[in-house]
Amino acid sequence: GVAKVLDMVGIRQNSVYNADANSAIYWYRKSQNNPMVKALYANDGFLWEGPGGHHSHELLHTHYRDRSTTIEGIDGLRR
Amino acid sequence: MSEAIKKKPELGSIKVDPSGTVQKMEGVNYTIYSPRVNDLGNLYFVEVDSNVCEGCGECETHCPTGAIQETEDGTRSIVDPAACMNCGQCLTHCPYGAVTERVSYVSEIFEKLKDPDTVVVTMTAPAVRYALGECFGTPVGTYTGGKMQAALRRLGFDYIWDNEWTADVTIMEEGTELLERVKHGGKGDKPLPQFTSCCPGWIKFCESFYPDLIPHLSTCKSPVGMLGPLAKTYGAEQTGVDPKKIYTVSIMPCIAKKYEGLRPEMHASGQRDIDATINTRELAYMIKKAGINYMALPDEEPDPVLGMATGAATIFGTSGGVMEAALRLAYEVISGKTLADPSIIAVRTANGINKVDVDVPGFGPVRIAVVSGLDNAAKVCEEVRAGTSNLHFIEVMTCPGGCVNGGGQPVDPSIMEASVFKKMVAKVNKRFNMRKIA
Repeated sequence: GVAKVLDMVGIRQNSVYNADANSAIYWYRKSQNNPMVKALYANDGFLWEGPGGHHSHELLHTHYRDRSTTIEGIDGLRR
Repeated sequence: MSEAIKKKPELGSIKVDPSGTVQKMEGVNYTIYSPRVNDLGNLYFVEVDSNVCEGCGECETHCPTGAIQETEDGTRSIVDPAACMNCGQCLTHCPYGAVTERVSYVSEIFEKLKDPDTVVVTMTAPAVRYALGECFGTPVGTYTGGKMQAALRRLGFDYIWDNEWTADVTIMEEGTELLERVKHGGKGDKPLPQFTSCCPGWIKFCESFYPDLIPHLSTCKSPVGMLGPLAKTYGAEQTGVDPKKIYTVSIMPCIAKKYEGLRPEMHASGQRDIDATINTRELAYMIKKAGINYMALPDEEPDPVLGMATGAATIFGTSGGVMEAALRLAYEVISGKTLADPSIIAVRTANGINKVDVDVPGFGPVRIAVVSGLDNAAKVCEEVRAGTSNLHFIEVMTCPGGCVNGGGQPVDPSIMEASVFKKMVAKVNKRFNMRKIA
């Protein structure tokens, strides 16, 4: 079973890389060259401060929380 | 908005299953249920049906935390939702189809699509388009992205927006964050290595088992975590739609993304950023239920402003892809030179742990690791915790091989077709276990 599944995963992975290299599907291959990303970060764009700016931090960044207490006392966990 | 865009297909005749119904979609049983943020506490996203479980234990070997355990009668069950990372590897590997999904927004989405006052938009992940075709008879791994966008339009979604666009945005944000951490030598509250933050199973795992490493996590939301709030701010502005009327549908190769969509902090737009989350199997079910002939569809593009994407975005769907995409940016920013060949084959990773030094002119080696499977992630976390890691950047994906192997993807039919022998052995084991407790 396992070898068969890895085959399936490998085939799907290859298909991803083939699409990346196929200019009929993706004209550009670098995020910084995407015209609609450039438009977002343009001087007169929605995120005019650029990546990591104040507006980006409000909308696109987040914080995490310590959930270790939620798994305390559950028997049989692997770590 | 023009009438042409607003015109809905013949969805009126579709009978929508009421909440609580169990519906089989692409071989997997789903309970129709649309939870809200306050329901998140003790919510099970996957559960074992003890009436179907044969007690073979295959699921246990794929569970990265030990959350799925043997019960008194020899069947398996998830002991506590807090211990489950919602990856669904138990579900996709169960030979008996005994693992079920407990959350499905499919009925609610059909109702929203029928409602002329709701503007329903798609937010589709890269990996979906490499597996959806399998539900319509294509060979494994066939790319059908163009047909997928066409099908979403035929289903009546008003705007076809795409997480590949925000995967590119993620690279801009996460790459910039990495360069800042490197510039400051990983000092203070922004330590090195930086971990990727796209994968919701990994994020819950880090928060639960390695909370001391939280400062190493990129503060960037995942691509869908970014598209939700951008849809209801930038997207609303671009289309002139009242953001309160927008209903965002996250379409994923994943089960854990249902958890991510419900996180309380996902309300940066002033509304819920992500209204509903479904996976590849559920999308296939919806397309079939609407009577759309998928294979006969033409290839179509997403709506460009929040949909156009690059090859760097689509490779997010495979282990090593986020790393490669980030390096395509970091190389050019650090060196000031053009990266002639965007393919950085050394970081591509089938499974396990892959550590690579990538030489960047004017900087030296950028030391990276690509990890999939949380057992492997734990090994790398132990090194970071011990202070013995000299890496700059680590990509972690919960599912072995990355999102193309996600828990929400079409299940390999050969796994469902358990051999007669295996089934017999499982039955004997189950009876034996039952005798033990009698």
